[in-house]
Amino acid sequence: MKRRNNRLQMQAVLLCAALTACGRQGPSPRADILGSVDQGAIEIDRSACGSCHIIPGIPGADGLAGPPLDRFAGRTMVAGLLPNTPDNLALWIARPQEIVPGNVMPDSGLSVAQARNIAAYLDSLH
Amino acid sequence: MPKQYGGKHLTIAAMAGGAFVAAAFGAVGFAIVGLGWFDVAASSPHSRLVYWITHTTMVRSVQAQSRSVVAPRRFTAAQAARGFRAYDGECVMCHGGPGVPRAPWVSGITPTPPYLLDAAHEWTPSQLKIIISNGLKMTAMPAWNVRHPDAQTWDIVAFVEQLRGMTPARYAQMRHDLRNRTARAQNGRQ
Ligand code: HEC
Ligand code: HEC
Repeated sequence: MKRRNNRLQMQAVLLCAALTACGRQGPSPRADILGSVDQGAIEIDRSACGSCHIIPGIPGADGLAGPPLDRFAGRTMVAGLLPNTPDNLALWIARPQEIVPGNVMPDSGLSVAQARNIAAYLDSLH
Repeated sequence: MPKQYGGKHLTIAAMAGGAFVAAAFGAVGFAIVGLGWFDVAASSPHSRLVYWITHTTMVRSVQAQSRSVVAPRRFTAAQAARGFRAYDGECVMCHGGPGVPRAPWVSGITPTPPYLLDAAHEWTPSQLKIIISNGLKMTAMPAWNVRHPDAQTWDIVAFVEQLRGMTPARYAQMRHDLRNRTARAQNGRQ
C-alpha cells in the first residue's frame, strides 16, 4: 500500500513536470542570451517574414513560399544545413543568401541586433 | 392586464439600455477621434484588434468589388513578360521578389507591403486586378490605374500569377532579358 502511494506521488510529480515543460510558452533561457522576444516580434512584422512563412503569434503570418516556423525552438537544423544554434539561426536570418546562394529568401539588410531579436522570438516557439 | 403592463416596462428598459450602449459607443468613438486615443505612428505595428478590423475590411471589400470583374481565360507568356517590366520598375521596391529584398525603407511602412510569392494562391485574378487598379486606402498601396489602363494591369496580374513558384534564377534571367531588349531598342533608335 505504501509503495503504491509512493508510485502515485512519483507519477504526479512527473506529470506536473511534463505539463509545465510542455505548456511553457515564452522565452527559453537560450532566447534571453539572444535578444528581446518582444522586439523580435515587431521586427518580424516589419520585415514581412510572415508573407513567406507561417509564424505562430504574428498576425497575418500565413505565407507558403517558405517552410512553417512553428515549434522552432525544437528544430535541430536551420534550412537543413546548419545546426540550430543561436548564432547560426541569427546568421541565417540576416544573410540567408550567403549560406544557400540563389534560394528564395532574400538578404533583407537586417542588423546583427535585429537578427538576434528575431532569433530570440523564433526560439520562444515551443 | 398585467401582461401588457410588463411588456411596456420591458420596452422602456430595452430603450434605456439601448440609449446607454449608444452613448457609451459615442463616448469611446469621440475619445478615439477627438482626444487622440488612436496611435497613428507607423513605427509600431497595429494592435491585434485593429489588424483584424482593417484586414477583414480590406479582404471583404476586395471580394465584393471583384465580383463584377471578368478575368481573361488564360494569360500568355508575352503578357507576363510585359507585366514583369512594370513589376520590376514599380512594384519590386515595395513587394520584393524571389531572392530579391524590398527597399530598406519599406520596413517603415505600416501595414508593411508583403512579398507576393503566393498572392496568386490567396487572391483570384479578378481580385488582384481590383487591388492593383484601385489600390488600398489607408495603406501605402497606390491605385495603379493612374498609370496603367486595364489591359496593362492584366499584364501585371499575369506576371503576379507567375510569381508563384518562380525561382530567383528565373527572376534574374527575366531582368537580364529585359535589359537586353531595352538596350537593343535604344540602339535601334540611334
Ligand atoms: C521571399 C520569401 C521569404 C521571406 C521574405 C523570408 N523567408 Fe525565410 N525562408 C524562405 C525559404 C524559401 C526558405 C527555405 C530556404 C532553404 O531551405 O534553402 C526559408 C527558410 C527560413 C528559415 C529556416 C527554416 C527551416 O525549416 O530550417 C528560417 C528560420 C527563416 N526562413 C526565417 C525567416 C525570417 C525571420 C524572415 C524575415 C526576416 C524570413 N525568413 C523571410 C523564404 C522567405
Ligand atoms: C509604396 C509601396 C508600394 C508599391 C510601390 C506597391 N505596393 Fe502593393 N501594397 C503596398 C501595401 C502597403 C499593401 C497593403 C498591405 C496590407 O494591406 O497589409 C499592398 C498590397 C498589395 C497587394 C495585396 C497583397 C496581399 O496579399 O494582401 C497586391 C497584390 C499588391 N500590393 C500588388 C502591387 C503591385 C502589382 C504593384 C506594382 C504595380 C504594387 N503593389 C506596388 C505597398 C506598395
